[in-house]
Amino acid sequence: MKLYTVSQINRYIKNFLENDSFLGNVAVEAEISNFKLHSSGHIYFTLKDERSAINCVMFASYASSLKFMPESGMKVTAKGYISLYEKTGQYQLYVASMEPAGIGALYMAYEKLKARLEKAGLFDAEYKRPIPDMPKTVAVITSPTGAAVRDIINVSGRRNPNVELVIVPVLVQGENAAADIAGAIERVNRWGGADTIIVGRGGGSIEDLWAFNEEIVAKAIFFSEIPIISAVGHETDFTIADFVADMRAPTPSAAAELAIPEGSELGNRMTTLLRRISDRLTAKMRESKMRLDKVLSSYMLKNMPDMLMDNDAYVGELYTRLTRHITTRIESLRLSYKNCLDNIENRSPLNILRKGYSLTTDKNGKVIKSVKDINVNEEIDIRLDDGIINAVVTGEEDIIDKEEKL
Amino acid sequence: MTKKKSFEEALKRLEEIAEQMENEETGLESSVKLYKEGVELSVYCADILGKAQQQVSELRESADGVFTKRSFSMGEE
Repeated sequence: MKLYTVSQINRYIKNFLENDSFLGNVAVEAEISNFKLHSSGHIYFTLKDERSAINCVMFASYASSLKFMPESGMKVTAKGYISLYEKTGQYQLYVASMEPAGIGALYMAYEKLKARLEKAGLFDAEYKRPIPDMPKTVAVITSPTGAAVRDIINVSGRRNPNVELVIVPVLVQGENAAADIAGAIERVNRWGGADTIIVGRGGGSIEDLWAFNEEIVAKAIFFSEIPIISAVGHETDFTIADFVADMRAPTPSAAAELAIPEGSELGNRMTTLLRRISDRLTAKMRESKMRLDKVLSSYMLKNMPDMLMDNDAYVGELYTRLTRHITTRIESLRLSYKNCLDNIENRSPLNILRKGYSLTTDKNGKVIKSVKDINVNEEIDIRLDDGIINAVVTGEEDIIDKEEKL
Repeated sequence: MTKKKSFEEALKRLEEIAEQMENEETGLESSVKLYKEGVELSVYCADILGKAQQQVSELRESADGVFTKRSFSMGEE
């Protein structure tokens, strides 16, 4: 019998699976479990029913076009093909597209309306109005009870309490929500007291967010004279309102950040302006003085104390000198510290022993520096790097030529 | 400043002043005047920034189309 490698078997099964016309294009309705989003953008999960499970992978190129964020526990319809992952010999569903199960009809309506409005030009960049950078009043069209309104009030108050918020309470879900929202947008426009409008709500299911996918809301946003920031649901939710709005914010808090300039930003702007006019005045005065000097080069003028000296240049110079001084000081401290360390290291007798030299002492521990310090038969200790040799002197010789020592 | 300006108006005026002062045509005397006004505006702006209190109201429209603002309080969820 012919023997095959595992790779050959797996390759064979893979080809077998991929050539099957049924497995090449299947749609499965099931619940997601073990959902994992890899940093590469690929997503891995298991689809399961009461009795069985199948591993699934959706590559980043497909996953990027998902219109919702899948998660464990969610019921979905996944389309793709079955093949084998050769490395582990496991077959899996390679998902090419996926949508939440049961709301396929809503999705179709969404896609149809989106395509129609896009074609009609409602999403075109040329109709987008800039969001005012210094609004006095911001109208907030949302539910008066949700987390959205609270977040917007909090963020706005923190960023710039000087901006007034006018809440326009509306229903944000249910049958009448779309008409209510559209009506509120028209109302704020008729009133005319707001510089910017935020319209939105907090997160929810696609059904909860549905009002923001209706044509009546899309049109009201489009025809608003006042620039509108949409803030519907979470970062991953894209509603039709988001496409029509002049700006889309990922969340209600983010909408407040986009709509309301930070007080400190305004403060900085003010300071910059003040500096600009001060510089300008100084320059103007200097120019004038120079012109005066030219015309009347009088003794008085020449010797007038130079009140108009450029203080900034002087302070700048001082600062540079100070930093230079500190840097030099630190550098010299660092150097002397290093030298100190080097010296300690080099001078240690142990360091010399490490090179192969040894230290000889008599039995009292006195270092023997000359043959005259020791007699035959006397006990000595020879200290090496890693230990001590106990020895007895068997003889001694003088070195005649001192140079030979080396 | 003759009449009370809003913060935004004050900042806008300050921007105008900066532009006017950067214009070569503007003479020293007007520059000094403009500068004085600019400094006053800055003080005024800084003052507003320092003590602003957030205002949150609710927009109401009566049956005959008259708009009013009344104070807004968060409802219960």
